[in-house]
Amino acid sequence: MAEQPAEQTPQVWLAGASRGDAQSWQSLVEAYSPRVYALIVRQTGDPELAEEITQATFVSLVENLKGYDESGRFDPWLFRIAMNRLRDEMRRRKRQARTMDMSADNSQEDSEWAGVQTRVVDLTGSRAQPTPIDGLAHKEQVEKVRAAVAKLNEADREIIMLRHTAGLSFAEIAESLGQPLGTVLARGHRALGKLRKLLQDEMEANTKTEPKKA
Amino acid sequence: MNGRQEQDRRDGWTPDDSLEPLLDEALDASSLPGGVPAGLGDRVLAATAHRLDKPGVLARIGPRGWSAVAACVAMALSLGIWVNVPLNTATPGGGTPTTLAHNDEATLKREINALAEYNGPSDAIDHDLTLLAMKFDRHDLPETTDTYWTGDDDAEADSVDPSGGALF
Repeated sequence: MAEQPAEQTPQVWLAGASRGDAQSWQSLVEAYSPRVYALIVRQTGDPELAEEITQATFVSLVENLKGYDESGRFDPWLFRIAMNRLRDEMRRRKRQARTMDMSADNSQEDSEWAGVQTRVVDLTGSRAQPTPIDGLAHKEQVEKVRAAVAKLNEADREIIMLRHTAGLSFAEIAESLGQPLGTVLARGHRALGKLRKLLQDEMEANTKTEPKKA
Repeated sequence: MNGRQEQDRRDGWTPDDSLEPLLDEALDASSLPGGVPAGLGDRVLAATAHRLDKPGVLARIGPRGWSAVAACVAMALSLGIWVNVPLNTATPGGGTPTTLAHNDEATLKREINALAEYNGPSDAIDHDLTLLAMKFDRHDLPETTDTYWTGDDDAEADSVDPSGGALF
């Protein structure tokens, strides 16, 4: 990611906003609200909820500006607030039995994926594997990946989204989630493994349904 | 090596060079199906703007605002209600001067100072000036430097307008 000019960094905006500078706050909101929204909408598939959580996130942010200890870790802080708001909302909805229980089948899925996990978690580097969709056109590959991500369970999707939608590093994800870096790395490998398996299954299913050429 | 690769290396992550670029492209905020809703930023700003801590009035008022403050002070002076309480004046009957005039003066000075420190939007200072003018209008202290006196025991309790109404 390109380095931002000194006057355009979140830290500068934060300092201004904490002094009540509306322009700094606006810059911060404009820079980050699309990322927060995208993270939540991809996580939930619910645009209205995503906007609600986005607003709640920035309300929390503005209320805690004074207490923010600037150490260049704004992104993890912001996305942690967003994920906490999302969890709060999920718990509330669960209590009200209004569906949207995104983690209902997590335990079952986790056991289903256990075998996959043992195959794909290779911290020494299993990166040379070809992606199952390598033969497809690029646009089609992107669509397949997007569809496969949507099939992941919440925990796996969370890691993938924080990295590829929120743009956090694994260290920042660990900070956002309050988990050890090693745990988050393992979760990342597991999520990618599941994704790879989903894409493989998808390709195999397509191959079976395609009419054989004479 | 770009910043992300360097960070991955520090984190101990070996990037999946075939899958992760596709994930970046598929999941980037700008690639949302339907995009980010129009006006999202404005709605977030609307929901949060009033929670921003406003800076001091003086810092926000700017030079032009001073003319409004000067007008306010001139108005106060023209109304003749600038209260000058002579301390150390002999008190008839040995009473204690009430804090009425002092309070009014102090309050008005505080408000004028607050306006002087104001640097927010002009419609807000207009509003504040209007409020202050209303207070001056409602001010029914005599247009003299007379002070009001009560007995010592009632000094605190009676620090109100002699007509019986609260000042503000």
